[in-house]
Amino acid sequence: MTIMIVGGGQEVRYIIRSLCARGYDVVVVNRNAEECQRLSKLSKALIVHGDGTIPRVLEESGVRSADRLLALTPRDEDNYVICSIAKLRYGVAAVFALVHDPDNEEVFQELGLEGTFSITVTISSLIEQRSASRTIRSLQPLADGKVGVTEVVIPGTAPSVGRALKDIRFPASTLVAAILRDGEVIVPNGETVLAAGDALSFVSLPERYAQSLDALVGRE
Amino acid sequence: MKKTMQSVVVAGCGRLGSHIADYYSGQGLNVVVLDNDEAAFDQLSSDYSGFTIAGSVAEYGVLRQAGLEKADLFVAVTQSDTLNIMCAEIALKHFKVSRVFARVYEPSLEEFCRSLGILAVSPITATADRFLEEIRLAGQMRAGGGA
Repeated sequence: MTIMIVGGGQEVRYIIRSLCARGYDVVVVNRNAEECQRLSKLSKALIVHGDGTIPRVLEESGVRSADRLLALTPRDEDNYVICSIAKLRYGVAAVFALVHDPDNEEVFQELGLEGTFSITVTISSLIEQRSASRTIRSLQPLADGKVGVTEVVIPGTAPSVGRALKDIRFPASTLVAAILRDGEVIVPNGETVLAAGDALSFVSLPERYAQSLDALVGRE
Repeated sequence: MKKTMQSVVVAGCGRLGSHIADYYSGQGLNVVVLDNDEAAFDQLSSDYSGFTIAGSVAEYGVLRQAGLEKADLFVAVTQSDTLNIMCAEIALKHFKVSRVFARVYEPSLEEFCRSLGILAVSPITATADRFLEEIRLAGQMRAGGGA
């Protein structure tokens, strides 16, 4: 599989290294000549010096045969245009744009760019996840991170202990999918009463995640 | 044009943007011109009677503040091709502005924009066309005069 990356910077270097290590063919398009030289010494990726917002540059870099394209420049508008060109003009199957302004994520999706990831949203949700990590066992993002499945262990001090699910004040769009108790899986309903030590999996939207967690385990 | 234009939004108040804003203001239309640099508005003529908004057109909120949903014409003429294309697309698809134009310095982006429904003008192509036309006319005159 061939992955084309447009952009540069520290993160891109790590991404290139990790993608190359997994056996992908990586092509990098970067408009800074010095950075291109550094990158070419650093990895076996094919490095192309050029402006990725120009269709001809993408074409000459082999965008037609790329299976994925990641636009990781510092500017939202550049990433948007790079992805549009790759998708609409050259038929790249999957394109991903890095979005810095969280408002733009929704706008880009409305314009038909499904693959967006927002640094701001990702980092803020990471902080929330990490800060509560003592009770969280795992977190699985689904549908490009639009929904997450989280497994938490209910501590004895949690406000939810001894209460039925229907009495816990969850935010909207939260669903408790399964409870693991003493090695047995319970598919709960509203009457299910939580106990200390329950490992509980719940589905929630990223923006409701912190509230859901508060309702289950309380604030730490 | 079927409908009379009433409201115009111009993104970018450089030499071109200020010229366009001045023109439509002079025609009696409601004009809003945007630029992230407040000093850019000094380029507008003293007769300009429209609005100015200092802010980045890369931000959705600024475009909405400019009243794009009611605009009949949007012209994106900032210094950045990609910014012009992005906000032109937002104007076209999100705010449903019927006439959307963008300047792109890169000639090959002209055709790409047209495939998106944005009427793009590349100053290089436009200048080259004009030059070639002038050269052709000058040649004809000389040929005609000498005969």
